[in-house]
Amino acid sequence: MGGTSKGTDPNLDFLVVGGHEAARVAEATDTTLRAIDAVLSPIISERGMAALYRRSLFLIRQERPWLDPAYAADAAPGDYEALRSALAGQADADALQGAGALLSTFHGLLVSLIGQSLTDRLLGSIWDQTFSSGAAVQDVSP
Amino acid sequence: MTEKATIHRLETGVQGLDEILGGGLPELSFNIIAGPPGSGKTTLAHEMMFAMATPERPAIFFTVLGEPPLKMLRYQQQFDFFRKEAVNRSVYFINLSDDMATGDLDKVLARITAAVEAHQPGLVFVDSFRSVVIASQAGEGSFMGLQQFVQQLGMLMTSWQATTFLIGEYFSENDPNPVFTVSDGLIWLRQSVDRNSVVRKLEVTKMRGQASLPGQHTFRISSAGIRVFPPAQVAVRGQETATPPKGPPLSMGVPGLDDMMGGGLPRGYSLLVAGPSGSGKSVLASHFLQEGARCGETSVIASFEQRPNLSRNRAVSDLIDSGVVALVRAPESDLSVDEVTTLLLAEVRRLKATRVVLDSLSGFELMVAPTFSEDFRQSLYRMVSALATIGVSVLMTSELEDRYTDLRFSPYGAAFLTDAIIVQRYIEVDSRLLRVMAVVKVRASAHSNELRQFVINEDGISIGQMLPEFQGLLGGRPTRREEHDDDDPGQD
Repeated sequence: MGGTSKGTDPNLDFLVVGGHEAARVAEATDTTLRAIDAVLSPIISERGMAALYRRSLFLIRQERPWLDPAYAADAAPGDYEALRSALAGQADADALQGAGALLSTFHGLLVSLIGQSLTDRLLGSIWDQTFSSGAAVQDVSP
Repeated sequence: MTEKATIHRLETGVQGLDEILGGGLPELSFNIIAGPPGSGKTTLAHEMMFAMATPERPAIFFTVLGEPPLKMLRYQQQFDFFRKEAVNRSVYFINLSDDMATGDLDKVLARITAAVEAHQPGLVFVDSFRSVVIASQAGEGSFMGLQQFVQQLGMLMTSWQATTFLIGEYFSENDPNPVFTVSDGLIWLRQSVDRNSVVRKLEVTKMRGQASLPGQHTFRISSAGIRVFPPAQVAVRGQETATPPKGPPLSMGVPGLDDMMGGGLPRGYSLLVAGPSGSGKSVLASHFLQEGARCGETSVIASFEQRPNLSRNRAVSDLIDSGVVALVRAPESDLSVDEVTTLLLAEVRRLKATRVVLDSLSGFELMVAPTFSEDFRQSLYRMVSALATIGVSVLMTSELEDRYTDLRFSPYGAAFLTDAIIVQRYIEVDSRLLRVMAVVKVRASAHSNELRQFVINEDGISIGQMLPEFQGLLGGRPTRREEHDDDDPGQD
């Protein structure tokens, strides 16, 4: 149901709404990352956000070589196009699993640095509002 | 225009700081918090921000290149004052490093302006300003660029009715930095190092429009945040009692001693109990505390013994456990007298205490940071005066090396500071160490001049008689008189 309860991992249910299509998963992941970016970049700078994102990619790509192009892409901060392409090109289940791993890892990384409650304070609304019902995924579908 | 502009003062929320600032922080002022790395600048800024920021008066904390914001958030949230729920509600963190990296201060100013317009903050912090200085040098390479930036920033913030803080490291006090000229307030944080001891000090060198307290004031950083220790006289301002305080003298709790003192210890007096190790000073102090409890009074004891549980007797421990007596345990080392005064006064206020015991001055002096050693006597005088000002009676014990060639009361000249003195000595009689006690001084009181033998038993101190058959007691080795005469040996 609706969003992240305080002090828990992010609810990633929104990724599966609308079916397991890789393209939809890619779209939802991109939207989520940009929403996170919009919250965090003003606070920790664009490069700070980009560093966290790359660290998260690094941590999950060892088991997912198909993410190597996204990691290797010389993308500007805030540009998640390479990740989106990589996700969209996967089998539906792999894309879903990879996107979930990325967002969970990112979340866990932030929690390890600034604690659960401040992470919830900053990002909670993203899990809670934007995607909790899953409706937002449909909103951004092509 | 006959009416003056009204300057509201904000409560900073930092314990002791408002007194030093001269009544709080002037609203809309443009302030600098300066000091070397690790001196507590960001902590001070954060504590003030979380205390002052409200949804109606939000704060923006601009971080510049200095400390990575993630690290700052990680560490600052360890303090009790860090209210996570305030983040993005009344406290906004905004990072300027991307703009600052260009070295274009116009761009930085534009970004600040945009943020100020968006959030309309009542409080603005820029941390650290050193990065701005460096960026300005990397950019246009002119000092004027920085000065203009500061002036425009100051003007912008005042127009937007924001109280502003620039947090800067590596500012040199001797450097005629233009930023100092523009600022309304200048707060220096320092770490004073003396041998192996480090003491944190805060100084308000400038605060336009109000009388801040000059001088360096010690502060401590704990998990609760910053606590500044204002001088003793300031800490009791507004609580002065009538002089002399009304009421009968305080009973000492030792049978016979009140009579020796001319009726007891007058209220608001300070009493020095001096004597060699083991002579019974702490026992006398415990009588004093127990008598207070018996009379329905509350007391505070500051213990400076290395192993307080060993030196404290059962009766006092029970009083502490029951809450009738508050125990002030000073931090282990690097103390300032002002710090102890602050802790004492807080407990005195809490319990509405009438009696204070300092046990002992010797231990106290050992715990004081070397940097304050030279001022120990003056600081002690201020502490005792402050306690007297609010009508509290103070008993201090002082270890005295028993020298039989002279009559001394204290190594600190504390005898001069106090209103009353009781001295305890050992004497040798028939191959035994006996104890004697005398009331040397009770200001404006007809006290006894008798040198009385006393013993310490399970009930505490029991005062006996004089030893008129002996002479030369103060020499430590009295001799038995051959024949009695009626000369009164007491003097002075």
